[in-house]
Amino acid sequence: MSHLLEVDDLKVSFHVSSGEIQALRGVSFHVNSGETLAVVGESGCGKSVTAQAIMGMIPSPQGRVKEGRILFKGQDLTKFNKKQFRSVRGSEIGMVFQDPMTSLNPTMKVGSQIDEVLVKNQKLSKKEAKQKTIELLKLVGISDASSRYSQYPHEFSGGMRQRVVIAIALACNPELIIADEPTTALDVTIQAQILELLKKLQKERNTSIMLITHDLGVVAEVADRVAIMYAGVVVESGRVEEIFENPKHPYTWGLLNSVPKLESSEKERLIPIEGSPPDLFAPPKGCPFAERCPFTMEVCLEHMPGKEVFSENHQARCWLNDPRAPKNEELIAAGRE
Amino acid sequence: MSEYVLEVQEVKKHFKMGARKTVKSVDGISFAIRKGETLGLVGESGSGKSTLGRTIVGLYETTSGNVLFNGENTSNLNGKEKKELSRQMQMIFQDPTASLNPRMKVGDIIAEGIDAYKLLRGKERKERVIELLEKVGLHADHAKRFPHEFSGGQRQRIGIARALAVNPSFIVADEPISALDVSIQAQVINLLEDLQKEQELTYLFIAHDLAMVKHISDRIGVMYMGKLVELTTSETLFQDPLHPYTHALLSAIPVTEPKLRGTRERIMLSGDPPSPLNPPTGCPFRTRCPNAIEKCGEEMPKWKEIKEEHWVACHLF
Repeated sequence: MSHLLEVDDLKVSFHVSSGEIQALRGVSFHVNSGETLAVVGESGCGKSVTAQAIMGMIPSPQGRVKEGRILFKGQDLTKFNKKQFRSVRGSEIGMVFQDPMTSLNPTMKVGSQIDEVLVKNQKLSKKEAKQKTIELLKLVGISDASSRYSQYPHEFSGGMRQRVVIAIALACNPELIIADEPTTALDVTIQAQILELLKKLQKERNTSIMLITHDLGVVAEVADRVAIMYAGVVVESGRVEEIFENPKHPYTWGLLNSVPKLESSEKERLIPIEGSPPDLFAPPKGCPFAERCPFTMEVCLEHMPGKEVFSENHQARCWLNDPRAPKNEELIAAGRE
Repeated sequence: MSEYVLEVQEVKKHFKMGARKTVKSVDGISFAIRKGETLGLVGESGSGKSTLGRTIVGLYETTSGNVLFNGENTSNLNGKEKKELSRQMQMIFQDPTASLNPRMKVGDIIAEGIDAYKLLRGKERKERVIELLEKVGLHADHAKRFPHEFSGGQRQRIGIARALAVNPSFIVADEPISALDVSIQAQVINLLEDLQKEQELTYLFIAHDLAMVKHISDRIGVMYMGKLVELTTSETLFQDPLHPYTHALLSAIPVTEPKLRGTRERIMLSGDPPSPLNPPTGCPFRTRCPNAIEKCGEEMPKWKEIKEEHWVACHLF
């Protein structure tokens, strides 16, 4: 079966006065229809740039796709011009941003902002659009939709605004929704509501979701598969159970260890990942995580590890998994703990 | 001297919005913190936790009520005593970029307090800055650099070094890790824990990440609409919460592993918190509370200690 979205060896660079920032250095992953892929990583690892590349929104002329393909329903988006992107963006791929205040127009009524999408992309009349907008507002759980229609964004709370943004993303029934940290700006009770809403909508409409987040709790809650990014590459990917129960990359171990466990009653010291991510002006020759990894070997500093495949979905880029690596099971088990 | 470093008694902080409206950001809060303890404060945005923290350290004046530090009422102090008090109480802020002056060198930022209190000069001042930098895990030569040359986690370390420079005994940490990456958060939390042990610091730790608050706090207070609704040890709060809002808050935390998905019973709160300009009568939570009774609309429940070390404000108890 072919994938709905397939990103293949994507390389993106930004040219700034002080040199070239290699934001993406060969990113590959895919999204199947009807599933949720969580893309996880720290700030600067390239997760948002990946989303921008898929949406054709990389700021030019500084930013440029250097290599690789983005196949959406078999078409290569990297070859698209601005006009072609406009026909995909919004109607086939919807987008939900982190901060609902900045993604809505403060001087426009909420209803008109949704109408606009429907009139432009689906060629509805104004009257039809209004009717559909009110339906959409109801769908995303906004009560009293017809009076809310003519209010402005500042009259909505943060959670309600995010619901409006989701309504806009859903307006044209897209097959894929890219949600970039959709709940990061929200309180935990509101976060639970929004995640519930996304899950429900996905079930009803069979929409695929690419969820960008740094919150492993959110991943554990909603993801089907996970791609872990570090310094512009995907270092591990797999089904969510495989990632949480049998992680293969030391960075994944580190991430899982550094969050406190709610279930444990004793006070355990947290295990942080020491140091900070590498500078992408001059990315390291070998594995980008080698500098912070407790298990670094000589080869890690010299050569970028290839992909080791563990199951149909599960793969990781780490020399520890190479058949030639010293089999130090205890060491690896210790790291995983 | 009492066993408490800090006692907050019926503190209110109201802000006037125009001629007639008032926002009661902090509305009659009482609690006390012991020496060497960490008290966590949680609640949704707008619940008044930052305002409370800022009122305690004296960045805001109280509308009414008293803040007692080492048994002395902070509002009755003279100028010299006030200055000494503000040395004892320091604050760490959420956004390490906004709270560091971009035009000052890191060494001077850290020494700001030392200079203001004329504690050290010349060579001693320089040595103290280096000592502080190393204590928070940075290098001596970082003193000559500017804040923009550092990552978020490093900037937060600079903010911590600045707070420590004047040897405080009490620190209010207002969301000190929420702007940081997951792998960096643990570094900063470990640093705060080490410093607490070394220097017998007392913390008021404000955050919305419940798992982290549970990890670092001895006791936790839950705020809603300017009021403290529950306060108890962190273990009891998670195992045996009483207030319906605490129940809802805890049930909304995402699971930590995918296999636990669906095992946590979610109490979905309907709607949003009411507007602070127009709060409901009686208990502020009653409009969203699944267990509200008639009495809740009539009067605000009293703040009472139900069991030892377990305070709650709810008519059901």
